[in-house]
This record gives sequence, structure tokens and C-alpha cells, in this order.
Amino acid sequence: MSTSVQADLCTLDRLATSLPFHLDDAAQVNALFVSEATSPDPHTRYLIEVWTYLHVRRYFLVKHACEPFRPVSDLDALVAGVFQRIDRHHAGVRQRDRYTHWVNKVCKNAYLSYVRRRRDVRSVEEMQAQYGFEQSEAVPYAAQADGASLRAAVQRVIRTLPPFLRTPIRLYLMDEYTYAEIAEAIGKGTPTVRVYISRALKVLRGHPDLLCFTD
Amino acid sequence: MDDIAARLEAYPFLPPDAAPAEHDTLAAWVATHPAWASAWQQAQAARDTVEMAAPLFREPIDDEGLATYLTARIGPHAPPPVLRPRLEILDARLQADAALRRRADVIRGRLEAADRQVRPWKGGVR
Repeated sequence: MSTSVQADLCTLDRLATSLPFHLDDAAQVNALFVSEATSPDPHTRYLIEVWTYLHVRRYFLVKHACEPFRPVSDLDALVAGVFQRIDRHHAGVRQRDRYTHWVNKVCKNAYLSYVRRRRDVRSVEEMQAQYGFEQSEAVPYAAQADGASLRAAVQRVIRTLPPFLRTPIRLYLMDEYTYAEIAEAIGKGTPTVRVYISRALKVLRGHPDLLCFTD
Repeated sequence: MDDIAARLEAYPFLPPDAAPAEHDTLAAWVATHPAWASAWQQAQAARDTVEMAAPLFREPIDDEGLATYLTARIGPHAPPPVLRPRLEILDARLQADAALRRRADVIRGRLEAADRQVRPWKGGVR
């Protein structure tokens, strides 16, 4: 098949060339992921990693080509972050013959979450611009709260939780997983995950180490 | 179910709101007719492929569809059969439509610039 417009995408092309199948061939990818469970093999793992990275990179490049990420470093961070997230949690995928579906869903959720975050930041920036406030005046609490300290404190408190709550709440707060994704990762039903998250959040909200971050 | 072959063929292209119900119906039927298990698995894989390349199938074709088209063309391997007819339609449209070709050129430029901006992968988790 010939095409009148062809993109010169060096990195994507190099990765696609190292696979023994087309990058959209879900049947082949899923078959590899299934076979890895029964007979682990370094080459199979390598091919799965290459495809996963290629898919994640392509997914966000396509999004960026339509509506560029600002700053552009967000694109790099999203590709790396989502790939790492998939790498951490792929062992928990229950339907191994739907691996491509799961990876695509993780990409989609990460993108939606990014867009929501950007919208929130933009609305704060617009509010500051509209009222001529400095950041400290416009958002005395939300923007001034030391994000890194809060994150570290939350992580410390999460470590004190019982193991069955620890993983779901970490996935929920730190990795921004949806309930469905957490359910898939820990092998429990979505209603159970809701209960776990609710119980963990209750503990976090009342924890003395975190009270200083609230009003 | 006498129209099983046709339903399996249509399954990959069902809209997201119709797919879950059809999935359950077909899965239940195949559970009692194991001879169709392989065809059912292929239909699900085809659906996953269509899902990954979903913007390709939008009408009218938009920027995301063009970007997906351009990235589906990379690499030495032939695309899966479920994508081929659609890619051929878009090939023909790009040949015939100068405005669409210009649009695709803009998208191509953005993709190439972005591909250079993201750090290359050296294997493993960074």
C-alpha cells in the first residue's frame, strides 16, 4: 500500500521495526502476554516491553499532535510515567488475553487525568490574571500548600495502614488509578475497592500528621 | 444463534455503548459452543485493535485520526486485516484531496517534532 504522506518518526519506527508484528496487532501482543505467564522468557518480556513503550509513546504523540502539551516536557513525563505505571502493575492484570485493552485504558485514564489537572491549573491562572492577584493572594491555601511535603506526609501515613488498605489507597492517590483499575490490579471487585478507599481516606483525614495541611 | 459469523464480524466495530451487551451475549453463547471459541477470541482481539486505533474510524476524519493513520504506517509489518480496508480508504482520500493532504502534512510535522522531543527509550524502566 502506498501513501501520499509519510511521517519520519525515527524512534517509533525503530521500535516498530524491532517487533515481529505490526504495532496495532492486538492478537499477537495478547498472545505474547498470555504465553509469558505459562513460560516466562526474557525475549518475550522484551517484546512486550517494546510494544508497551511504543504504544504509550504513540498514544501521547498523537494527542500532542492534535493539542500540544504545555509545557512540552509534560509529554516526556507522561510517556515515562505511564510506561512505569504499566510496568509496575502488569503482573496484576487478570485478563491476560486483553492486555492491549488494559494498556490502552491506562493511557486513556492518564490522559484524562492530565487534562483535568491542566484545566484546574488554568482556571487558577485565569482567576489570578482576572483579578490581578499574585499567587499567594489568590490561592492562599491550595497553591501555597507545600505539595511535596504533603505528598511525603501522605506517603508516610499510607505506610502505617494495614496492607489491604495500603495498596489501594496508594494506587488511588499516588498513581491516580480509577476504582476499576485498582480492582483489576489487586484482584478484588470494584465495590470492595470503594470500601477500602473510603476507609483509608477516613484514616488519612483524621490523621494528626496531616491535619496541618487542612484548614 | 444462526447469525453468529456475522455478529462476530460486526463485533469489533460496535459503538462503545452497544459492545458490553453484545460481548456478554456472545461470550455466553460461545461458552456452550466451544467450536467458536477461537473465532470469538479473534473477534475480541480485532476489537482491541480497533479500540487502539479508534480515531482512524471517525467520520469526518479529524486531526487525531490523521495522526493515528500516520503512526499506523510506521514499521515494516502489514497492519492487521481489521485495519486494512480503512487505511486503504484513507490512502485514497489523501491522494485525491489536496486540503486533507495539507492537513496531514501539518500533523506529520508536529508528530516528527514531538518524536524528537521525547527522550528515546533505551530499554527497561527509566
